[in-house]
Amino acid sequence: MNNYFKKIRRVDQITFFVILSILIILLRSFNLQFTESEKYSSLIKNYEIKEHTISTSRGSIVDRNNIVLAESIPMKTLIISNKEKFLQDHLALKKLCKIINIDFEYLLKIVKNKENKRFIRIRELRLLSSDNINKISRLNIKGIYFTKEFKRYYPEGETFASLIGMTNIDHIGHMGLESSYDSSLAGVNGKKKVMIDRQGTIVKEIKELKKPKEGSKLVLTVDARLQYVAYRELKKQVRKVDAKSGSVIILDSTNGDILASASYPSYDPNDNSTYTVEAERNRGIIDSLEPASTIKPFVLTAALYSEKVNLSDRFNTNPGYKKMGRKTYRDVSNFGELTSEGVIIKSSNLGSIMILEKINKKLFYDLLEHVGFGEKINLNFPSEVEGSLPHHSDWKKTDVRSLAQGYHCRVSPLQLAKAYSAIANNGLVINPRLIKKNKIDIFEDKKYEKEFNIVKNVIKKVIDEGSAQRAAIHGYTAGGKTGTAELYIGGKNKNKYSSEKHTGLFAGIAPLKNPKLVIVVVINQPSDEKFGGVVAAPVFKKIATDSLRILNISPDNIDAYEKKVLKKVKKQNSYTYKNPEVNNVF
Amino acid sequence: MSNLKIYMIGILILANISLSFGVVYLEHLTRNKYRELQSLSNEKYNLNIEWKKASLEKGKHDSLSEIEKIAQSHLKMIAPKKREFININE
Repeated sequence: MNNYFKKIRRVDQITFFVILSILIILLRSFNLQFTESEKYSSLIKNYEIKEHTISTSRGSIVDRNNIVLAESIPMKTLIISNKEKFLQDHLALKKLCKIINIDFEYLLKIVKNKENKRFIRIRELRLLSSDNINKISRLNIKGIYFTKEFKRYYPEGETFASLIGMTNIDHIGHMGLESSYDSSLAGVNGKKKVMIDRQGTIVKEIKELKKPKEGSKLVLTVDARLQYVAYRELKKQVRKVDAKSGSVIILDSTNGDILASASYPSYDPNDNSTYTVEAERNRGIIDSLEPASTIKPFVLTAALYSEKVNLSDRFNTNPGYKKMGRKTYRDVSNFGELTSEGVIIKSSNLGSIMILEKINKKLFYDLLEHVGFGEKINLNFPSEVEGSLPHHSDWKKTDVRSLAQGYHCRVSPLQLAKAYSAIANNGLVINPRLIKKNKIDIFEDKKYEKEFNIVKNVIKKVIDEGSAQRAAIHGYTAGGKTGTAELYIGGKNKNKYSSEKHTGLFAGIAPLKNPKLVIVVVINQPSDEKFGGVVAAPVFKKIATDSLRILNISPDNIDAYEKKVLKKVKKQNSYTYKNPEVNNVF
Repeated sequence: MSNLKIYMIGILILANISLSFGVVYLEHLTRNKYRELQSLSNEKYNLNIEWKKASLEKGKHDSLSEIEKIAQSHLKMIAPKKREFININE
């Protein structure tokens, strides 16, 4: 009996609690639904479900040492959401015009003209500085709000402008690397459905509609320090010789990395007013030119490879000019009888023609093709030039003579640097690269190894005793070749080349014992002097001197004078070691 | 209906009620945590922007052009002449 009651009691107890719980829930529901409904319905109005954009920023561009070359920073842009309210307070608007430095009537005209637009965005009110935002906020202008937009900054300014390019106001790359790598730099904005409270804070993420993708960082092979040195010296020289323009390419011959690609004139990408179409050109990559005498080391290489010419063979260039066919070919002066080595050292056009005429033209064509003439490097740079190298089967006798002097073919300064890096590497051709993550592209063919090794010593003599003595680098071995190209003016005119307009070139390697840098300097249309040995070679010297010091490459040619000085200093026992890194900066 | 069934129903109802309260509580907790996450994300974003600005400033100050400008204008440094160079080959 007792057990029965106990059972009844337990069941009753449970039933009681269940019923009680249900009653409590029902009562609370009733209370929420009817008594406090207004309070809670007003609370729910505080929350809103919205589509929220997850904004991503454009990736930065950095040099090989992680120095920032381009970076995006968020700024505020003023949007007019209610035109009528905005136009009410003229006094505040006049103050606004004063802050952003525009005419009041102009502002009114623009706003009134945009009749059909719900949200008005004005160019002058975009990407405002925080100072201006504070000032504008204090004006309490009605019918406006601020939205986030990004502004691109280029800390290196004009030094890198022709290489990196810039973005437009909508943050889309439209020049240089900003344009060609726009899709990877830009990133993709995401979208999600969210619940936000009255303060605009997201309290709940409901659904991701589109996954965001951050803009990726672009790491270049360029060294900002070398780029600056190249640009500084180029600018100085172009102004000094009153030239039209110029370009410099610095290539790391060991791996094909482009360490600098400077162009002048240039512009400041942070200031649109300095932009001109001429200043936009990266002349080292998109301009092609006839290499002139810088081709002569390749003439000698092909001749040595053919085994029909050796270094001691003699060529009579007397009296400094010679009529071949209908045309008379000339040297700068009468060099008399020259060895094939002397032809390169003195840069004799007649000698070069005689050498090339002795060998099979296919051999020369194969060599030029091997070192990259007429072949696009494929840097993924806008308007990169391919150059031109007509097929040897199309070469007439006059074409061969033109080729021997570096005409009838066209290369970009970068292609010329690539060809000279083949000399530096004893025939190993490495394709230049501009983006660090791209793999090093080496064409392993030691076909011309012996010949390039000989030619390397010949171009050393060009600097030591030949036409490029102004390119000699103090303390280092170097080799190179000058070039002076008459400017092609084209047209139906028989004289297709200008005798007044020239391009001065120099292509060099430093240090020559253990090659590291290949530098090509091009000075277009100098006014005072025309020869590459005068206008371009000194630029090579200055750039190479500073670059070798910056890269910490030890001197490999301490000459007798220095040895004498050191000996003297040591003798006097007053020698104190000075770190060249610190003392030789400027 | 057996006693066991009654007990089970009772337990399930209780579990149901407590779970409901649990869900409400967890929802509240999630919103709070999400708010916290949002403010931390904003903080991270702002710090990232600060870092970008700082690296831009650093880039400006340690660029060769800036160093050269300051060296020449403030410290009156000049480039040594060729004869003043001493190269040391170790």
